[in-house]
Amino acid sequence: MKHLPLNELNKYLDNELSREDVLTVEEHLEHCPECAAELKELQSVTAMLKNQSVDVVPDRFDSLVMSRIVKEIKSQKSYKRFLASIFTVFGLSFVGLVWMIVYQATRQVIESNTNSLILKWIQSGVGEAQQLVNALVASKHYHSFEASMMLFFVLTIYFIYEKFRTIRN
Amino acid sequence: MKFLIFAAKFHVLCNFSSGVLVKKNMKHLSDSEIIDSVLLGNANDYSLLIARYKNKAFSLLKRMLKNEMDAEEVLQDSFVKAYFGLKSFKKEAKFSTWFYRIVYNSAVTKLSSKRRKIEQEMLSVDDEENPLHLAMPEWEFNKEKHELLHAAIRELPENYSAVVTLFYLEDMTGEEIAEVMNTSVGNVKVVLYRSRLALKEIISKKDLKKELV
Repeated sequence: MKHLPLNELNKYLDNELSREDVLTVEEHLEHCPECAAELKELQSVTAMLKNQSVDVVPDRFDSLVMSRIVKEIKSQKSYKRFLASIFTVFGLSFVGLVWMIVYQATRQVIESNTNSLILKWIQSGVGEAQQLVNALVASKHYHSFEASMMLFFVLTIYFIYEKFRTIRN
Repeated sequence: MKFLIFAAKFHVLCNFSSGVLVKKNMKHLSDSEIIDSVLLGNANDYSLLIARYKNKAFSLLKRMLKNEMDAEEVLQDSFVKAYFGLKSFKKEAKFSTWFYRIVYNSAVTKLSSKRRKIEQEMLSVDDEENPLHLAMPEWEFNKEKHELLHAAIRELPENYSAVVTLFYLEDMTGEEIAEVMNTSVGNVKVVLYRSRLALKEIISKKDLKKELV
């Protein structure tokens, strides 16, 4: 007698066979003790699996996960703050750079067109700005503006380094 | 009498305002409602989801990774990953299916990294003994029935034990398991049939019929 394929027995076990196939399998099982024994063993394995118990995690598990989440949220926030501060600093540097270029360009235009009233007015404005910068860095040297930009750049690098060190700690 | 009714109403109102009743009822909330609450900013409500899934997911991981420490570590990672992925979770699928997919994928990643490590060690040490066999659970015949069954399940290949655990412990359907494991329903059924046969063989090989069946 040809035995039932194991797939067929498994499908019978899981009620996945059609009514006709169920009848065929049951008829075969009545006359085949080997297939009936195989099915019995599979049934007992299935019953055992249905009654299996669940493993339990250690008590501190919930609090550990929640503390990890809180820590992660904090680090994400500080990372965002770090990025925001970098963008601010670089934004300010960019504005400073643009200001310096405009200043240099304006100075050259003023030097070549001293008769224009508008340019004279700009010249006086730029002169005041230059005086202000000179007063701030306490230097009467012509390159004080460039020097202040350099100082600003060094401070920016130091600020970024400090922020990075704080986050890493 | 009127005073008593007023006092009772005041007591209920106080309970509501202090969130006692709200918290008491939280346990009966659906996964979707808890997720909504977490996304609204109540991060602590996530502990309800942790309590709901931790043990079953732990069982799955313990059987797949065959190591309790690794299972706990991967489970923690999975919960953290799921928390930060909640925003991207689409409610068309069940949370359990989505979460078990994270757990399963994390376990597969852990297993492949462990295998790589073992392969490297084998290359460097050139030991004849196969370390993969060392990872297998040791058989202790004085164990309780459920422990013996767990040990038998842990002897199965990881995808077999994953299917068996999700099908019988988590009561998932073939379709849901297929979604978790990123495979076809037909493949899940084949794996399920094979795992039953493999378990039957392990039980008869270890002569555990009396203890287990």
